Amino acid sequence: MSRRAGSDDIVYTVVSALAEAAAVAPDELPYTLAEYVDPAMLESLVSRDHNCELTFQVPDHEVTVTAAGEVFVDGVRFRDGERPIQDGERSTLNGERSILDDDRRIPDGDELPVLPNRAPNFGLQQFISELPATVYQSRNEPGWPIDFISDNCRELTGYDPNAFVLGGVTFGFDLIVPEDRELVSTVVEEAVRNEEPFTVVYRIRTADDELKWVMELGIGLVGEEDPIPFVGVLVDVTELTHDLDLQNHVLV
Amino acid sequence: MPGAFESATTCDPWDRCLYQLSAQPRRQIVVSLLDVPDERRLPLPEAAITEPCSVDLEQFEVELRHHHLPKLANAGYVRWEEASFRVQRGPRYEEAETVMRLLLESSDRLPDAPIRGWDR
Repeated sequence: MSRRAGSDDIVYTVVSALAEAAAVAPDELPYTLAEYVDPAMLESLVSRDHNCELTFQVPDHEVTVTAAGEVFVDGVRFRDGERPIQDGERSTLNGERSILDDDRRIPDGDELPVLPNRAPNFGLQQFISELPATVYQSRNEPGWPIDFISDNCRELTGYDPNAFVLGGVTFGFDLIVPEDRELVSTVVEEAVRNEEPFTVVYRIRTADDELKWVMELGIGLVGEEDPIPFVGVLVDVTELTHDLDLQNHVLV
Repeated sequence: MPGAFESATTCDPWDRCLYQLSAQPRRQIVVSLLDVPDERRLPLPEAAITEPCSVDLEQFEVELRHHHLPKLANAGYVRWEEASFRVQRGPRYEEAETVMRLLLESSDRLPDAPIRGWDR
């Protein structure tokens, strides 16, 4: 019988299951679990004597974790410490998610709500990654912390997306040059107050200490949860700065 | 609406701080950064380990990467680098620092040590 994860090691077990599904070592998984689910929710799920499960999406896979500590990737139970499941032995989720073969049935019970996946679906993600601009979602907090940023942020900023989403790097505190911060803050505040989109041009210092000019077009999603999210795009306009009126950085 | 560089009041700071400090590895990271300069980057997982002998390092590193570090970074308490696996203070570090220092100063009135170096 496979070892069932407790609350202390459920995060490790889920990561191990996903790594096995991707045929990589756990430390080679190309994303972080926290991008797709709050790991504390998993710990809470398996620490209680509830009859429920949680399902969420990660790149290319669907994961279900039960209160009993079982982990299913794409309907196949992960058996930590055991040999890989051979053909004909697969323990799967068939049809209704709560129905399994005989003794491997997932108990019927209440389902926890699936946590919102902030990453876009993959068709849209591919489209975004091919745009000649960086797409982002941030929130109206100091520094404008990033919740999503497209892969081409590397070319613009020198940072990987994870440096923003997980590593705490922000445009406000780490990239925008100090002399331009107040201007950007003023423009954004006014746009939020008037419930309008904003456009602003400013300078950033990249991870490689390169100075670039950036045009940002964004909008605050007023009416959403507090702190309100911003969505927008960033365009490298460094080569165009000779033709811009840089005495007035605000473009309306 | 507060400006981006003013203190955010949109999320209760006590809820945020106490939630972040509700796990031992996260408390240990905050404490490890107490007496180092802002720009100093500490190696992981050492900065998060309370009792070296009792840690399964592989599992612990996975939990740091996939759970504890993203949480602390999302709250602004730390910044961390995935490739070099190092951690440093974040823009809101002072919030967590204040609470942990208060706990340290009250150590004689509290139960078992919640972090390494409790008796500092």
